[in-house]
Amino acid sequence: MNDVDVIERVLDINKPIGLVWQAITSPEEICQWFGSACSVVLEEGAEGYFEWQEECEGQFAMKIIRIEKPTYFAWRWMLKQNMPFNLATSTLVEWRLTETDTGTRLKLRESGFASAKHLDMNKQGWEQELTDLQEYLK
Amino acid sequence: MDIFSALSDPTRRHILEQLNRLGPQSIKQLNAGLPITRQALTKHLNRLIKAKLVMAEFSGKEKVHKLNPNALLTVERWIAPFAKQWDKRLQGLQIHMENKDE
Repeated sequence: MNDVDVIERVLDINKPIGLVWQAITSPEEICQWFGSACSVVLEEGAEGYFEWQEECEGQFAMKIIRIEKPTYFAWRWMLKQNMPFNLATSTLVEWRLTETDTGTRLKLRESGFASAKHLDMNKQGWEQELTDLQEYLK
Repeated sequence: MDIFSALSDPTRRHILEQLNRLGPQSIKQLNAGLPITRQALTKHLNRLIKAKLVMAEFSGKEKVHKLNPNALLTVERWIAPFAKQWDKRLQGLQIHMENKDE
């Protein structure tokens, strides 16, 4: 069994690794195929967001975790839009590139769903309780 | 939903992985593959049983634990829309790359 709460995909692309690296890491290029907007500085630790204007309103906060040009790129992002970035309730998205005879093999892995969901529910639980407490104290 | 909390622990995920790979296991068998005490293992198993991820039953005199495939389906169903979005995005990337000049 792969981890039950992990998404893994493999994609072979008929282009050199340098071009694929640029497509998945350059914010100007990411917005052309990934979402409708991407705002982040390409630096480890930098925070930014993705946007899908036609599909849903709001921004998905993200943070760049690691950049190892041209083979490994990782960021974390929030499952829901319009939430400030939070390490515990985000999932990890990893991109691995390797050179092949015909171009580049891309491996995508997103992990941490159960943990993010669990901690997010806990947080909501607490927030609700605090709101209830505030109401009660009024 | 206690299921996500049960899944959020790496040891419990390891137990699930072992049950999936080896089929139903007794506590003793499970313990052989894990660097934790028997008490800790029992505690983790109880959490997994409570979350309905694992079922305990008797095989003869021995109590064995096995995966509950229905519970895993619940998780898979929750993740499915996220996975579908990735398929769409990666398709977009493939098309984007085809149109890119070297």
